[in-house]
Parts: sequence; structure tokens; C-alpha cells
Amino acid sequence: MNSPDHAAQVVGVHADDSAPAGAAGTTSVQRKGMAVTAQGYNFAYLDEQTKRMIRRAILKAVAIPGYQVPFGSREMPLPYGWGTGGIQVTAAIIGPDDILKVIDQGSDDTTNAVNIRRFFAATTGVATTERTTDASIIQTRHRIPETPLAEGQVLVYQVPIPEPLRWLEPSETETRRMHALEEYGLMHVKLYEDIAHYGHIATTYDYPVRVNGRYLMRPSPIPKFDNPKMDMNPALQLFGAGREKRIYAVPPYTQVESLDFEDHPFEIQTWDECCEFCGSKDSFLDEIVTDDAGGRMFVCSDSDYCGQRRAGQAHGGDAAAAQQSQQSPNVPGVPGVSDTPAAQPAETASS
Amino acid sequence: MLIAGDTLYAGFSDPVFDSQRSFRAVLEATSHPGRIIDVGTPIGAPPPLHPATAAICLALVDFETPVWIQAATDANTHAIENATEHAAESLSQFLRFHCSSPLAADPALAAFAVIHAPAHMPPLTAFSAGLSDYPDRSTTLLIQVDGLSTGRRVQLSGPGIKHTQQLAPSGIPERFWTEWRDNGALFPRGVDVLLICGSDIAALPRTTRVEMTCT
Ligand SMILES: [Zn+2]
Repeated sequence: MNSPDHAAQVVGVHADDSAPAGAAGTTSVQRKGMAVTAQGYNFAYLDEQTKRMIRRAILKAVAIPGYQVPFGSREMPLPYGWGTGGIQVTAAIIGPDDILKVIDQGSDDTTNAVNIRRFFAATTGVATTERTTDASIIQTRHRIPETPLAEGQVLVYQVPIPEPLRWLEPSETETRRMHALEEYGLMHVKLYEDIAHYGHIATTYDYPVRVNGRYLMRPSPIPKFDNPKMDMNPALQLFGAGREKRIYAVPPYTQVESLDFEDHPFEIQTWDECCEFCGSKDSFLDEIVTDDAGGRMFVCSDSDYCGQRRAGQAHGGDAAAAQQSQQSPNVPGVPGVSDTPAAQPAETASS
Repeated sequence: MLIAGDTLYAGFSDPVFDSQRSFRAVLEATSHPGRIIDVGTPIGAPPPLHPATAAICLALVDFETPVWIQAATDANTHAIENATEHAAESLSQFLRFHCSSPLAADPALAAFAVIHAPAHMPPLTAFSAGLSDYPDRSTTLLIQVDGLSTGRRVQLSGPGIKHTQQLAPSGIPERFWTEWRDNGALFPRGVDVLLICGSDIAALPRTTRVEMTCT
């Protein structure tokens, strides 16, 4: 992560300085339905002409699955690397009735996720949630939630580098030509070199996929563990790259295949361990070093998924008790670690 | 406000939220081809513009997007009656006034095309299918039809459709479906279509495959 202090400062101007801590969200919710927020910005920060331009790009992206649509990226009050592409996509689609969830590496509590959630709370007044099932829009950096998504939900990915062929071919003109001609042999050669070198495909993040049997696409730096979730997903998946000014999409119910070879089929990461907190054997696990003596444990990277499972276990599956807090904890922490059962707020969601 | 005849045609009453709602309806429709979606933004529209057509234009069209309007600049206008000519004129006034959009004389140069008499529309190949390295630079056709569920039934499949989707637009010429198959063969180039009736829309993005079904 680069310059978190700077980002926190810039966002703070909009989210915190204009109202006492904790009050910004409340004020905005009361002002729901107004086009201009208390902070004096247009709804969702972007001006209407920019939204129209991004909306047109999104519609073409959905019509051409996996193809990168260029768009005129605008300056955002966050530096590149903090998800400006995803933020612009979310800003162009979000409306007063949406419920927004923001995750960073599976967690709702990291500085990045908290800042983006505050940004939208301040500029739109929409309700936010940490529950995957309650969200109509989920903006994500580096994970797909473990809880299956449903029709009508939109998953917005923050993309640092959109072009899957970039490391093989630096020229944009040339990569566009390769996409046009479906000339993807080089990517297979690259993956096969991995096999020759390591005995297996070494790429574990941002693993390339083919969308609807046509475009080669970078799924953003999600673990390849998440790749199968993209395939035939009922939710709409939108990808925004701010620095490179590209938007692309996977419509609902669209085939997404990870590249592989007959003798080296695609495989996802697996663990011998299960989650220390909830006991899940099916979720993506982060390894946490617990002491200087080399102690370690494995915990779910998806904090909402882990929290829901623990709440269900603690209350014998009582669905009402499984509700999580809507407010983000004030202390951004390491995913999983700050999120112990004792520290978990037990308020009832108010959506 | 625009005066057409004796009627005043305002734009959106709340441009920010009405644009957002109209866009989300188009996004939902495009994400689920063939599904009938209510655009749901009440708006006055000069005939023959349907309310959904007007709402979509206000939400998506501006000075960056040349619009081609059927009949106003169509070389085949002689085939269409005078009333349609008049309709095209009030329609282009509405677009110029509310969207500041330039009018495209050539459908191949249009980002959007508004078609209110599909029986007389040019072939799909007359519009822009984009370039092979920029297939997004293609025309989106807004085609007004007489109904979305009352015509001959077609079966749709492709991205956005779990299994199959039925649609029964009426007022669309038979040749359209042949042209649509040819459009699909151009992929990733191709035009995208929104079928519109009243405040309802149904999308046919270029990826949608169409099979004629027996009734
Ligand atoms: Zn867990």
C-alpha cells in the first residue's frame, strides 16, 4: 500500500472535517434524496457530464464482455492506487436507494475500505453495510466475497492494471490488435514457461481468464481461488481502472474460464488448515503471525463471511442474532485479527 | 422548456436522480437481455417519442454523442408519410434543446439512433458497428415498437441470460432478425439495440442470439 496517510488526509477533508466524527453519515442519510450533499458536491461527487460519459462506457462494456472500453477518467480526491477507477464506476451507477459495501482484501475494516465507504456516505448519503447479502453494490479490492452473490447485485472491482497482455507487449496499439485478432498464444506461452520452470503455473493472483470464449481479461489482483466465482455469476461484475482509464465488464450468467492446459488443468489454492475463528474449510485463508516465536494461525480473509459463521455458531443459527453492525469499526485493523468475537459490535443492522 | 405545438415538454424534474434511475434501468436491461424493464421516470415526450426514449436520451445523450433521427435526415424519407417527417422535426428539436446533441446526417456516424417507424428503418449495416480494435465505437439503436410481449415470440440466449429468455416485440420487420444474426457474426463489432414501448424497454446487446420460435 502506498501513502495511506495522504489518502486518509484527502478523504478526511470530505468525510470528517465538515462534521464531527460519526455525524457525517447521519447528516447525509437525513439528506438522502438531495442532489447536493452537505459538503457542497454534486451527488456522488462526479458532475453529470462525467457520469453520462462513464455510464455510456459501462453500457458498451456490458455489451462486449471482457473488452476494455476507454473512458475519460476524472481527477478524484484520492491518489491512484486507492481505487479511483472503481470509485468512478460506483459513483456513476449509485443511486439514493442503493446499499453500499466496500471491501479491501475481504475486509470492511482496512483504511482503504473505510475511506471509500466514508467518501460515498458523505457524497451520497446512501446506506452502507458490511453484510454481503444486504448490499446492492459491493466495491472490492482484491477479493470476491465468499457468500454467493445474487441477481441484482453489482460487484465493482478496483483494477490497477487492466491489460492482460501488458507484460508481454508494451504497446497499446499492438495489444489492441492482438485482442482484435484473438491472438492470445503469447499468454499461453508465458504460462507454459511457468510450468517448464516451476513444474506448475506459478501465477496465483490476477490469473488471466477468457470471457464468453472471446476476450482475454485480467480479473484484477484477486487470488486465483476466486476465479471460479466469476463464472456464470448471477451478479453484474464491473471493473474500473483509474490510471489507465479503462472500464470492462462481465455480465451476469457469462462464461469465465481460467486459462490452463490439458496436462496442467487450472487449480485453486487449498489449505490443510481451517479458519481459527469459524472453522471454515472452504474459504480463502490469510496466514497471521501471532508472536515472535513463529506462532501462526489461519483466518478467513472475508471478515463478513467469518463473522456471519461465528454469529450463527454462537446463537445456534438464530438469523436475527447473526445481524452485524452497519457502522464500520473506528479502528482499522488487520483483517481477522481486529475482528475477534469479543471485539465484534453486536448491533442490529438497520437496513 | 420546449414548446411543440401547444404542449410544453420539460426535461427531467430532477436531472440528477432521474438520469441515474433511467441509466440503471438501461444497465439492468442490458445485463439481462430480453427482460422487460420499466424505466419508470415519468416524463413528457413530444410524439412520437415514447417516455422511455425521451428518458434514455436525457440520461445518456449529450454534445459528445451525435444522434441520428429516422426520417429527418433519411434518404428514404419519400417512403414515409408527412406526419413522420413532422414527428422527426419535433423530436430533433427536443434532442437539440435538452441534450445539446449534434444530429448525425449519416447513421454510420451516430452514437445513438432514434427509430420510431421500424418498418421503414435502414438495415442494421447502415449504422456503425465500431472498429475491430475499438468495437465500443458503435451505434446504440433506440427502436420504438408497438409492443414487447404482443408480437411474434423469439427465444434469446447469450451473456446475461441464465438459460433462455422469451421476447415478443411487435412492429419490428421480419428482416430485422436476419440482419440481427449477421450483426452477431461481426462480434466483437456490432450495433446494440434497445427496444422501447411506452415506459418499458428490452435490450438486445450484440452478444444476444435469437431463435425464431413457432407460435
Ligand atoms: Zn473464518
